[in-house]
Amino acid sequence: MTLPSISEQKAILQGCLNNINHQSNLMKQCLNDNNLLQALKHCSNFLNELRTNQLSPKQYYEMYILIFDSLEYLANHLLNSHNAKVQKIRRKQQRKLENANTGNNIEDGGNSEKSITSLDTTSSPFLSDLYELVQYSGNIIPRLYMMIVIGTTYMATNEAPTKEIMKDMIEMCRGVQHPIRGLFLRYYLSQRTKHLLPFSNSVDFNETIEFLIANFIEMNKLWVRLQHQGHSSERELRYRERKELKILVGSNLVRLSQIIDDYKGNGEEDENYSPISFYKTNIFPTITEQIIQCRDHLAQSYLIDVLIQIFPDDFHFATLDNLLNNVFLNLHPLLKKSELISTLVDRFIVYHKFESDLVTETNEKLVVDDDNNNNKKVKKDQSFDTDTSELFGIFWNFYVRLYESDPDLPVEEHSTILQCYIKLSLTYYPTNLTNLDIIYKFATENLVSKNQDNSENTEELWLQLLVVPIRFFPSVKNLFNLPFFHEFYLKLTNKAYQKQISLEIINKFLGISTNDELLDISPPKVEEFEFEYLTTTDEIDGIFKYLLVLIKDSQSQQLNTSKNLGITKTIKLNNGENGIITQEFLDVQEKFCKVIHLIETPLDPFKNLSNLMYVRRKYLNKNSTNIIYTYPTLINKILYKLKLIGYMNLKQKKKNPSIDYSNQDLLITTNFKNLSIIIDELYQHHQQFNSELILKLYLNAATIADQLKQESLAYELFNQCFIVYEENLILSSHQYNYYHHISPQDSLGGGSLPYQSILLISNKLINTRYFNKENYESLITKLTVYGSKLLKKQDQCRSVYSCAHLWWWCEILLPPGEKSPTVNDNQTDEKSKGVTESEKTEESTKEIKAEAEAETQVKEDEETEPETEPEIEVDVLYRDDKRVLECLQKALRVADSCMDPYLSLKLFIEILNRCLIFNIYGNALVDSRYINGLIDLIRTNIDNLKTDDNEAAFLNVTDGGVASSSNVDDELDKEARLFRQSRGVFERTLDYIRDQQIHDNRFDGIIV
Amino acid sequence: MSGRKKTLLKVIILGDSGVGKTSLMQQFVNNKFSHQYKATIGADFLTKEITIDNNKQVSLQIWDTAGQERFQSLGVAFYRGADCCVLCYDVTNEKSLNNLTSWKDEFLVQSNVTNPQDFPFIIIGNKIDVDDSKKIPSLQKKLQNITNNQLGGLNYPVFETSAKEGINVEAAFEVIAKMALQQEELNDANGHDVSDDYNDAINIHLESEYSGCAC
Repeated sequence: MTLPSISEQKAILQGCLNNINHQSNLMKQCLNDNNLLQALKHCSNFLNELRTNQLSPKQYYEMYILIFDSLEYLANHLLNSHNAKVQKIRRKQQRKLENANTGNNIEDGGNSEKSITSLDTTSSPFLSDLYELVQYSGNIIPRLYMMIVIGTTYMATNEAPTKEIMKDMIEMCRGVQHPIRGLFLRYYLSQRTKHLLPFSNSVDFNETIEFLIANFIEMNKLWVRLQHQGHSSERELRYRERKELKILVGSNLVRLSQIIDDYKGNGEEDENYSPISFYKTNIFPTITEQIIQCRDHLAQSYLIDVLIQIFPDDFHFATLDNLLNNVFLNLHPLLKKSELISTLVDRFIVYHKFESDLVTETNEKLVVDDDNNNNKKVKKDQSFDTDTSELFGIFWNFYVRLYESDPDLPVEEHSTILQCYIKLSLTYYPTNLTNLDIIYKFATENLVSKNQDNSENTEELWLQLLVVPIRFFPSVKNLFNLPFFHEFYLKLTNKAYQKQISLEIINKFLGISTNDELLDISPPKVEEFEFEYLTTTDEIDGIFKYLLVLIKDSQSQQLNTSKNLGITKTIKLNNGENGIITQEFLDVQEKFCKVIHLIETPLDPFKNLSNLMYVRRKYLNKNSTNIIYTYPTLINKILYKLKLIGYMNLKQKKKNPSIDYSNQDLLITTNFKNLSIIIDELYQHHQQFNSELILKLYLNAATIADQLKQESLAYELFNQCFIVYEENLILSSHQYNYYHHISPQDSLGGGSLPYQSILLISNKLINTRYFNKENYESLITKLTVYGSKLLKKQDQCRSVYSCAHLWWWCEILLPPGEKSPTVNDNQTDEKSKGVTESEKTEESTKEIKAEAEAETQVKEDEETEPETEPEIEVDVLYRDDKRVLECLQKALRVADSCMDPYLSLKLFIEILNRCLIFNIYGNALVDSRYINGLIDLIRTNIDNLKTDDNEAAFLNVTDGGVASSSNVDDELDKEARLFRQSRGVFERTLDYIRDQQIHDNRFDGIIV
Repeated sequence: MSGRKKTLLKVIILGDSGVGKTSLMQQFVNNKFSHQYKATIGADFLTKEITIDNNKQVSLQIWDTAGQERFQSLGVAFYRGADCCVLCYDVTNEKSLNNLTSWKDEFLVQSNVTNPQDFPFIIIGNKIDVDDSKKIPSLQKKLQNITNNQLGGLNYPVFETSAKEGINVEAAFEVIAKMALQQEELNDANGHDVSDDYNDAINIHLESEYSGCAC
């Protein structure tokens, strides 16, 4: 027989439903008219609809529900009329009895009792007759449904022979062997009997259990048999139908679970009754035997699932060993055990969460509860502890046996099971990590190596095993106690997966939250993330051994893979000459820097330093192309620590000068040297594109060395700066044209990289205070010479006048009471040194000197001019007025030699401003006469330029004319603008001088 | 006969897995509470006779359903003929609150009620006994949002209960019974015409149509 199509099925169902409604209404009418037999006929009519085999289980269920409601109506009616009849008879008997009592007194007592007991038998015939009567119904389906509805109604009365009826009904149900009909019939039986099952004593209870189990076994057989019915082409359909029908079978297990809940044992007969042991000895073996023997894939997976879901956790703890080793191992070989394990473990995890909530709750309540309760609860908690202590062991034994019995188990299964185990272990034994290590050890030794061939797919599964604990642990440091975690990690052949794990670790360590979708067990709540420091080399190893893959993996490789993945967003560095990198790569480098900052031992800076050195030596320098991103952080961190140590050292020295500090000094010196090596390493690999950065690093180190009074170190470090400058910066101006973008309109502004570098160095040098005079002068002279050799005139000029400041300190920058060694030297052999120094300097300095000489001599006459405020400081500040003048003269000459008159003018004005500063700070050689000369020079220049054509343009604009009129000639306009600008600056300078003359008594002899 | 007049009211309890539907029903019908979680398989009902206001005896047939879909394989035919629907959520589980709407929609689609606009629903937030810190933050506001915006803007009665401590359970079910009774009376008023139609319908299903096994 073929099944009708879906639309046909719908039509059939509708017809059935209509008919059922119709017949059931007729039945209700008959019942209201007290026409019971007719009502039963209608009832039988609508029950006939259940004989169809043209409907799907779902549709059949719809019919079933409708019929169920109608039968409930019938049952209610029958029960009510039964009760009414009983009452009627009782009332009649009562009356008779009263009559008899009044007439015959006590003698009739025995008789009356008899009549009361006979009352039961006289009243029952109504339902029991009916029970017999319906058995004459023609078809078995209506017959059995009616039997059940009447039988159970009968059972609901007090007088019924309950157990006989139960036995009879369940026997009769065997008559229906059609799977769907049989399943629904038995389901009806189970639904109707659920409140009527006797369990007042252990005999009843056992019989009830037998009744339920028998029904379960029969239903399971029907259900399994359905699979093998019909044509083989309908196998799929059968399977779907069976899936729909499964809850009918499962409902029996629900009943079993409920009845065990309800039965509290019978105090007299079996004091030792406990639901758990009853389940363990009576129910569990029978049910599981049934499940195993049916050898059906669907039945096994569903029924085990139900078994796990509907019996309490305590029961499962008690039968766990059996369940795993005797049941799971004997299930259908193709059945996915991992799903069942997962259900079971999830359940235990929920239980644990709930239980621990409960424990805290009861602990709170303990205060209120009386002693008895206390003991009980404490006992319960203890049993809970002992129950679960073996949990992992049992699960693990099962796993090992599973592995042995089925070596070809798919990797997915292994992975899922082990993941469950990890979660279980983390939940139940959060502090005990040996379990996890067992898992990783096993995986490392048995699983990964075996599946080399299809590693691509399987490794992703292994990845999950590694990720879960990282996310769960409150601290990454927990991983340190899992040696096999790393072993397992190393077994991953796909670097991308390794990197993913490494990123997980680094994120966890830095407190960067990741989405927790993977993690369905809640990790212990962390209120606020607190950074943990890496204090020992072991800890550093612990973290960095996972990060090594990120370090070693060079960016070019990464770029290739990213190209393969279609990532197009890249970042060009250094005009693309140094390759292209991705944002992700930079993010990782940034994270590394953050990790470096967490290498910290706050109380032991020396240890800290050695740790930092260790990280560099063992990990960071493994990829020399990437150190440009990580070393600066490392270097700054080291420098910071050195600074702290150095200051502490100086402070102690000041306090107790008697103690020998050579040891500490030596340590500082060594560390500075190491630091220098690190910067040098960076320099060796990256001088081509990053020498400016390296220069800054050297400068910082040099400044700090100076502040710590490490003169020779500071001197060497400044020398390193000069090396960097000479080797790379002098010639590299063409590579860095972005300095010119500072003011694109102004070709005279900005400066080349060498010029910027000189400014950088001079800015640091001017703040150094602990060089002796010789060294200091050697450094500043060198720098000035560099400046005077720059290519562009404006750079030359500006460098030289900036360097002039190096000879004329304006700030003390020293703790009170201290004197700079630079100045001390100055005092002892001021004259001689000054002369010899100047003689020793290179040729170019001599040049400057020679050229300046003439003017210097002129100026010396006016030396006597009094300077008020700065004089107090003279003895603590290093000052050399002649050198300043030499520099200014040199600057003037350079400015004068410019081909471009506008540029010359601009530079002259700049120099004028410098002169004003030196004048204010008391350089006697830069006196009012000198300044007047300069002002005159500028005026002459301006006048010369004014005579040119562009004067008109200038006037146009300054007179408030429309600026756009000067747009006529672009070239002219540009020059005019520059000229205007310069004149503006000059005017403001003069205003300033006038202002100062009025208010501050400065610039006395200057004529404006 | 008094028994015949007694009304049977069908109530369906819906809600996410683990919100405590079974516990609510058990607390109301049997005054029992168990800490053990047991998933509900399929659907099951309990009946309880109660008396509401003017000494009216009603019999409540309360259907407890499986929150997990995999345990509802036969469909939800038992929604049919319901007189009231209880939508449950867990005050500690925001997702269960947000799912109320889908449960309501699912019910209306499957139950085929004649008056979806004013079919009686009631909302129960269970587990109020738990610690305040675990509850959904600013619950009232969220709840109001949902009842106003998503549940069709109707003001369904809301109860906060604890099946564990038995708080508010009786009160909630009393309201449920009243609402269900109203709905049943409404149905009776409209429904008689419908059943009359069936009386005149021709029975197109003849016995002979059955083929195959005649068991």
